[in-house]
Amino acid sequence: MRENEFEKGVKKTMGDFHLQPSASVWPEVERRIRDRRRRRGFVFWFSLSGLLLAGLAGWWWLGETGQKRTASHAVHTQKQVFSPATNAEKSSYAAEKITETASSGDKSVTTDTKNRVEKGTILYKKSTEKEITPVSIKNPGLTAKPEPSRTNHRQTGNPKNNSRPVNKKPVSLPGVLQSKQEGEQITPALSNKQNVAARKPEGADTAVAINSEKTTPVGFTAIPDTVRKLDMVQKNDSIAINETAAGKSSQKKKSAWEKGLYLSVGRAVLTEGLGTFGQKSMEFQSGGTVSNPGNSNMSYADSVALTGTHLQAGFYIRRYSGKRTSFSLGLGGAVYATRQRTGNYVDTNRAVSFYQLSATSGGYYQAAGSRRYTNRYIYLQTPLFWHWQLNKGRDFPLMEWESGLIPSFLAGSRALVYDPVNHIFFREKSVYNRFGLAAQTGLNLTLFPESKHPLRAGLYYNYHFSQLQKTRPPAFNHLSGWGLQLRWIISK
Amino acid sequence: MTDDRQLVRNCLKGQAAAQKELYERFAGLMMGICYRYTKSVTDAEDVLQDGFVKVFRQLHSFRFDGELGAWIRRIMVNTAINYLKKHSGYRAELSFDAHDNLHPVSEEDAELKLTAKELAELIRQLPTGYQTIFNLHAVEGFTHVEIGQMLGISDGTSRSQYARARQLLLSWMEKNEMTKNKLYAGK
Repeated sequence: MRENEFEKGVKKTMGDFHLQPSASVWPEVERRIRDRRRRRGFVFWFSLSGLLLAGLAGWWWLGETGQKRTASHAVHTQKQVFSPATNAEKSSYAAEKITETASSGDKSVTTDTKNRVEKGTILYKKSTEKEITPVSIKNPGLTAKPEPSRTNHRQTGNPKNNSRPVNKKPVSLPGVLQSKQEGEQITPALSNKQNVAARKPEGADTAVAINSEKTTPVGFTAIPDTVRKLDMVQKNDSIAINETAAGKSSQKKKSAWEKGLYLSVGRAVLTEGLGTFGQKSMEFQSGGTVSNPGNSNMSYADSVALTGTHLQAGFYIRRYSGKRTSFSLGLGGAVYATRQRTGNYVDTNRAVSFYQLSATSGGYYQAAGSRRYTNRYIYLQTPLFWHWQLNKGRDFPLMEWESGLIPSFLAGSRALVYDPVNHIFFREKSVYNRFGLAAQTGLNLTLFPESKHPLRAGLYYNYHFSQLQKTRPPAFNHLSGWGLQLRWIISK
Repeated sequence: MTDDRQLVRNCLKGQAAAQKELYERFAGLMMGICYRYTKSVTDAEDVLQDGFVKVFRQLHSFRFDGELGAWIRRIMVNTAINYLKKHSGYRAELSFDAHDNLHPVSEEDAELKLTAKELAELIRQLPTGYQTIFNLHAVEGFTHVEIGQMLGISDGTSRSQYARARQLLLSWMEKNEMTKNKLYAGK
């Protein structure tokens, strides 16, 4: 029993034992809390960027693999078409064309066979469909007789005709590469490969290249004609004709990325949290009213900003990741504007007793008054969205739901901060968080889908998870916006 | 003054002013606790600092099913024990062997007139093991079973250590003639 009494006595004595810690404890505690928050922020952004990079790398890799698969499939298909031509023939044929490109002089006309071979047989097939024989521009007296196409051999039905011996010595045959003077044979490097008997059409003075499948003569009787005809070939069949020996492909690849511009116009507001719209509730909670600005007992509610305008604009690129899903990445800017009731402007320096901020405001606004001041916050942002197509767009315009994150950077501000101790508004940029993260969601309809530049129009809502003001953050500290958004597709 | 619930909400929103208010509201009391468990003011402030950092990090887990002060107090006590276990200066002394230089005093004669500060000073002069167990049992009100679980000792050891700590304290009180009024409320 006594033991219990002893403990009770100790407890009673020690119950209210207070000791004041030294003043250095709290700053250290605060520093550690902030450090942790910063670290978490760093880890978040680092992880996010890592994920993005990994995702993009994976996507690129998958895309590349997919293209190779498609190409190999095409080669396989083409083998069947070209049969009975052998692989060796094909490769030697490709090699020939490359050699021709390299050796046909400084002003050469060539097909980009190398690229085609690399990219698959569909292109390879084209190269066989339209045979273009190099012509030396430096020697206008020369007439080139292109090699006949192998499909032409195939048409003869004689498999032997298809066999084209490789690395044999040049054969002196008319039409390989010949001057106009009878019998004078030119043996340029390319003629080493011209080991297939060229065909001279009956009635023609000079050798003529025959388009085997369309049987369109694309021959070269003389340089002007040759060039002209080659031009025709180029125009008609979009075969690359390059002035350089490198032989770059002029075939225009259709980009996998859709490019466009976006514009959003709506209302901006500072909210307490997600799903909180406006400041009405705050007015009731605090007991003060915004509509009573002359009240000398100014409440916190008087300092709360009203809604304003929200604008977003920028450029984006978008790519389909699935049948109905796509991903877009943008770069743009956003302006959030909120209106503020203030009193008169006093153009005098005044020390501001703002927490952790020993600032001197170069002029300030009195708190109570009926003047309106528009706060503006300007962000640079890189919106990252996923888009989901909701319907097929047959009976109803194509509908899309989009959702994503908007990492943003506060590039500028022209806004007032409220000092609740002195009841004044002043400008101080250092109180704002520079980096922010917002989430946005929206619903769009695709308009004029058949046009060259379709338009997507819809509604959006966005919300900044990050706090606007980092120093002495007020209750309403999250920017939010909603309104109408437009996406104008520049190229698809 | 903001009520606890609102204060916690504001702290969770990251409002620095609210965090400071919470600190200022409880710092004195918690410093007293830390002081009792340690041997120096510097160590007590280290514990206090660690404890408040934990408080702010774990504030989201506070469910308002008890008093905020009690919750913070528990964090402080745990932080203090961890501090004693971690720091070599204390770890060596945090033994639970019996100290031979104890001499029992008759409890009947123990009349105390101690301020909280004086009592805290006496408690701090106990060997670290005794000090910890005494604080946990006599001041915080933990049972010996709970103390055994917290410190990794048997409840019997805790019981005997506590008894010795108590005897030691009373002897010092007697020796220093600080016992003028009886501590026991019943007498």
